[in-house]
Amino acid sequence: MSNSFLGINTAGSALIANQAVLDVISQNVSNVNTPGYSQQTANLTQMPPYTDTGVAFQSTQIGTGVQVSSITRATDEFVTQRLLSATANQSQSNQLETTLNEVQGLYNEPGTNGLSNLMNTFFTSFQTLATNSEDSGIRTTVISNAQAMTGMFNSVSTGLTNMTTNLQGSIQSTITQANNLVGQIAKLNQQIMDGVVNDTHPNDLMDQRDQIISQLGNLVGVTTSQELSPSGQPNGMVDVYIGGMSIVQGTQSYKIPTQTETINNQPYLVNDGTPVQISGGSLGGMVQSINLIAGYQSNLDTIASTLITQVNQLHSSGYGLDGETGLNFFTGTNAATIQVNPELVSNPNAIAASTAPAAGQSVSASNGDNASAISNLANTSIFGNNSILQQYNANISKIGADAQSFTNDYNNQTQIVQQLQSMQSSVSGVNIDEQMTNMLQYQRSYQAAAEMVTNINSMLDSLLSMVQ
Amino acid sequence: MRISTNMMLNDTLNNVETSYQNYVDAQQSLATGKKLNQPSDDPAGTSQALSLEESLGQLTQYVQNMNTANSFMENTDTALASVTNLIQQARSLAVQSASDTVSNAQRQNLAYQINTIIQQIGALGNSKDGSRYLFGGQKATTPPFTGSNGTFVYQGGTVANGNANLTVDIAQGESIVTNVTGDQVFTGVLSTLTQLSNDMTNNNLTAISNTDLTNLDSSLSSVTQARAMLGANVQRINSSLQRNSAVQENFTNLLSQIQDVDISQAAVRLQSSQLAYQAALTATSKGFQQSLLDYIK
Repeated sequence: MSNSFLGINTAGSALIANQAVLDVISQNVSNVNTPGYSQQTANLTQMPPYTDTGVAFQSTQIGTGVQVSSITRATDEFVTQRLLSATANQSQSNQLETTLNEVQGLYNEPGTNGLSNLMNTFFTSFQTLATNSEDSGIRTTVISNAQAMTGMFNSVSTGLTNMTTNLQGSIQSTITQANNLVGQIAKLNQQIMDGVVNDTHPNDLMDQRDQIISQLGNLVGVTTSQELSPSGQPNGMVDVYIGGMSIVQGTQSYKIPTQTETINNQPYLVNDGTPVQISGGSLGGMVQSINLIAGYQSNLDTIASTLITQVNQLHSSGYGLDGETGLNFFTGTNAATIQVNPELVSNPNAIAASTAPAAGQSVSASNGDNASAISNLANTSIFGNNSILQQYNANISKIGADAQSFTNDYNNQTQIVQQLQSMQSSVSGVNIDEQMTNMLQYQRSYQAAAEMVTNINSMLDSLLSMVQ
Repeated sequence: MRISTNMMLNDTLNNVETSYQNYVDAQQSLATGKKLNQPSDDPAGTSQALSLEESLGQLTQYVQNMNTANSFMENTDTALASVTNLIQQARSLAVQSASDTVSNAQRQNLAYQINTIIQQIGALGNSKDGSRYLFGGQKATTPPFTGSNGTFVYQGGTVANGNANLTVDIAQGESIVTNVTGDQVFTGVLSTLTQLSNDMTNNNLTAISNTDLTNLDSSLSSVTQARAMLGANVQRINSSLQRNSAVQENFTNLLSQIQDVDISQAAVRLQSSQLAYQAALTATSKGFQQSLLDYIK
């Protein structure tokens, strides 16, 4: 014969189970805005039945109620993986876009303070000198125009160098930050595996780990794979790789190498001499940025050194008002070091505006032919068909094209990320209306179970009053 | 597709942000009037715009060169016109003095007038344009003619010494000589007039009518030749100035096409982006008004 209290126990289990479901709903509603939170579901199953032989039941099974068998989180592993790689690409192109915007700011083109205008003004002031070679005021103007130009060369070059220095610093701090996250992933792996072994469904730890992996992926592109136990079941741990290099293996984490390099414009980490390709992340963007900046720097140096050589060649063959000859107009060898020869700054009359006088003749004050020749360098083809100015313009055009393509990349990647985030949110995100509907459902169930308890209680009251 | 609460929020936020960005962009382009603010706005256009700016800078410089050259040549021509007048005066004095009806005393007086003309022409040989002597060749900072007791010795640049020509660039790869040196024009005139004056003083009528008058005529024609050369160069500069200004106008238009915003287009874009932004905001405010929570009591 069944226990008189079976019914009250069954209804009691419903009270407890519905209470648990409402607790999970409460957790979902609370975390509706928590980044990385995956909505959880309390899975209900029947309690093991009770077999009895008695008056009411002729050797049959009777249900004993309901229980929460597990609480699971809703995730889509495939979308998560794709989002990880899309986010890495997004933060890489974001870094590159930022770098290029900064570079464009340094060059300040098109504008009156850009080198294009300053170089052109430098050359045209030699034209003015050519027609007024004896005028010391114009000589001073030539010097100050030349100094404005060399100053801008120096400033762009210094700016590019500083950017590289800053990026190198950022790379090291990014790696430190990434190493910290890598350590946390390994620790969480341990805790999650413990949970899986004990069947406690460590959903929140898994969310936390996903969140950290996503942060890591922002810094440096990573791929992940689920670890399997010897029986072939996931053991809850996740392995993490950069390129082919393992950085988290179960509970073990490895330091990310701090040396970087660029091969064919692609960013790499150097692991004990072996290059490992970085697929995205701000780290990838930074390494690539340094390489791009080095290219711009070298192009600028070529312009500066060509300008130095060409102008000096003509200038040193010419003659100053004071008969001085053989002087260079510029000192220095590249964009960082180009300067107007200090001798000319202190004595503008030494600017060699004149060509060599005929044998036995002294320099003619109003011979501006050498100044005219220097000025005509502006239009002389030196780089193939390009003059110095055209070559510089082509460099600026390239910077513009790079900037444009990284901006487009970033916009495209952002759209992809947004789309994948929507897909992820569709699976893992909390919907308040849905939770409220569930809440009403389980609230009613809870009320019904409570009603059952009350009814059985009054039945038991009747039974007990018979005894009195 | 299942829609989570945050998904709707994020999508709405993205839409509002995008339409706001478009709105701000449209506003900025209308406010600045520029569509080319940095190379990435139009990489190929930037290179073109920089080249055009450079060319415009150079064209302006050539205009400045040509104005300098024009002023120099006009002043030279004015001086040479005075020289022509003076030679013509000297010629009529010579014709007068060649006649035997003129007394020796009168001829001395005429010789004195010739000496005055010599001084005037010598002074004209040292005329200036600003700080430059017109007839000194490349030695334009010192007086080309020096001398004492009414004689003038040329000290300026000469073809033989390779310092005769003042050259001015008037266009890319095109230059002109703007000056006439004193030895080309003045030296001959001055020596002819000095000879004339001597012949007058010595009453050498044969020399006056046979050689001096011929020499005066050839001096006159050398001055006329020099003026014709200047006139031709001034014309060349004027046509080059016209060409230059046509090219400048053309380049300025091209530059404007590359870097300036089409105002009517920009205004329309501002309107439509404003509308889109308002629509996004409206959708946002309506979308979050309703929830099951409103109905649970």
